Amino acid sequence: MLRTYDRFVAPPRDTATSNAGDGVIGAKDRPSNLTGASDQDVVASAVRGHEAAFRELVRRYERPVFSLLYRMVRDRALAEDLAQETFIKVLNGLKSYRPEFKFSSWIFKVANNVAIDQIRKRGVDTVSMDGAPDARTPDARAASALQLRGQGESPLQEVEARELGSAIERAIGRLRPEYRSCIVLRHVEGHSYEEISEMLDLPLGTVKTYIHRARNELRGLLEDRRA
Amino acid sequence: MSEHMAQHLTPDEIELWALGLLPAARALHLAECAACLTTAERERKLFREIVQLERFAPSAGFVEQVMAGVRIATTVKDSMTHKDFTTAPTPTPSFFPALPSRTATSTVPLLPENATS
Repeated sequence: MLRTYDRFVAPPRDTATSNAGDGVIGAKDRPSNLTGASDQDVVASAVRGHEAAFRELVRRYERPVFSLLYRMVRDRALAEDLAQETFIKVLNGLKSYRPEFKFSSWIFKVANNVAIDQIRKRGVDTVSMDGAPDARTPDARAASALQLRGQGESPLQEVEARELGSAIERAIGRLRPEYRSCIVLRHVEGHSYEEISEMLDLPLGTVKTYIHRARNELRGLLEDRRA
Repeated sequence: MSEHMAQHLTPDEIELWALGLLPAARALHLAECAACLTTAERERKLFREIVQLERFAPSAGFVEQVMAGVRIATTVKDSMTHKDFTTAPTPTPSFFPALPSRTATSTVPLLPENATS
């Protein structure tokens, strides 16, 4: 399905590459200068053709983007493929990025669309955290399952934290995909309602409704576990 | 209790309270309303549980896999140091052809064929 990124993407223009920005930030020999630069500056550097700037953008967003996708599809290998697809789409389209919008909004928007398309293709609304449903062997199923770590406390606390984390992940996996992305973007990634509205192309009121309903469902699912 | 104080907290206000951002004057309502307090505490508990979820990392080598699929627009300066010159941009058309770089092997003539000496 064709999706629009009109608010993020500028109309195409014939931009000749230039070396005007060389020596500022993003020069190949000065990658450390990228670490404190804003996303907009790093994008500008990438558009000028600096490979280090592309790498910096991947480094900044690989974990949040992969986490969102992993929680959406619950299959590590598939989430990696989708994350790769997301980054390649975004990085190859940088010239059309409009800097008045947050880069993070754009990349999460692309990631969410990629995930929703995949979920629709598979025809499942909810997903298992126990591994890919189409895995052919138990090993393949285990390899694709959500991997949870403890919080590094005492063994008992670690077990409890892992069980709670596992229960929350399981509950998130049972939400509708739209609720799932909203709740992850809001409470795991910490985006504002306005940003989520922009990312998901949804009215602000709809985002609020989705998040409130998602929280009610999560509470219900977690209380069932405790009962 | 003022009329405003007597109003139950909205879902947005409960979220603000759970995040520690609700103005103190409005939060006073919770001292008077057991129903709102119960809802707010349940909400805060859920927030604290969700926020502890970890961020997963893709496997090592992810950056390289992405970079293999990325097309980097080569600058004029970069193209001249690229070893095979395959991605050198087309020079801006002008009356005189571009001079070859010192390191490039080029068949571009220094002067147009019809140039008169």
